[in-house]
Amino acid sequence: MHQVKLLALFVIAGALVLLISHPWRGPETTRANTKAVGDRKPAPNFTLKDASGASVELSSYRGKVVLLNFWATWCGPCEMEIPWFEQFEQQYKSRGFEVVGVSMDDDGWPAVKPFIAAKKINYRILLGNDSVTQLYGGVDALPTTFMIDREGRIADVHVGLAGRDEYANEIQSLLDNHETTNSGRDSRPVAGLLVGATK
Amino acid sequence: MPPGLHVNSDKPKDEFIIPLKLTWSDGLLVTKTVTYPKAEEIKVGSQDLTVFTGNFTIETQFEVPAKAASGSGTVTGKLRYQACNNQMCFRPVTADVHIPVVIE
Repeated sequence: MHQVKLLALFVIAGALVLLISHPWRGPETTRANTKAVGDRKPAPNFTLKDASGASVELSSYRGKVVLLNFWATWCGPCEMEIPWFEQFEQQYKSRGFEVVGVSMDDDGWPAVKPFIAAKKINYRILLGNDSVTQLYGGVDALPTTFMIDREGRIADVHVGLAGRDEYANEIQSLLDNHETTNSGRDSRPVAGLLVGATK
Repeated sequence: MPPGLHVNSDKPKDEFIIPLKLTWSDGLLVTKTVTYPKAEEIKVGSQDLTVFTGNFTIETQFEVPAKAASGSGTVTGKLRYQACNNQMCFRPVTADVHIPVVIE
């Protein structure tokens, strides 16, 4: 039997052609500004299953502030945010706030359930799919997090790791926000309106 | 790899991390060994990772079956990888690999 040492010089610089052919985002985190109330679009509704097998519809959270987090077990920056989200769930739940995690693990619950147990995740996890990510404009990078107000509108979006205080400030702001008046005018206190106007 | 980006190594420390993996379809040639380079150790947050960055080489040793016909052909394989930077991660990818060979 001939032995041929075929030196497949697999220089990854060459394979970069393969890597670059896939969509990238730059290394900087996209920091979203809180949208003015009038500029917020409705968060697309979806139905996904949670770890118990129950079907969960996003619209069932209407009336609550929701932190909708697309993540995966293999995502290091995602894992960094999880303890913060666990604290937020505990701290703000009584005021009408919830974290909803959407796992993008291709291996499904066999991969996700052990992770949930290991990290003691105290908020609801749903198993996502590409149809849902397409509803949200395509989720190319993880984590991607949408802040949804009580009226079911997207108030902020974060692509990549965001700061804990940034999330906390946004949650607080959305929990404190007053309902809009019937005329559609923002009824927030004047200071809040001035901040919104400068953005 | 572009600056700032890394792929997980072939032997990640965490069971949840997706490793780099190069596999070849047996047919024209038989795969003997696939050798990955030495990984770098980095820390992202509290996570200890073994990764590859920049230019690196994965070496494969093939064997030609005794009854293989002479001539040219293509060895095909798949490269599975998952890349991140310090702020975000990208979906795992399985890319097709094709290498032309000549058997004499």
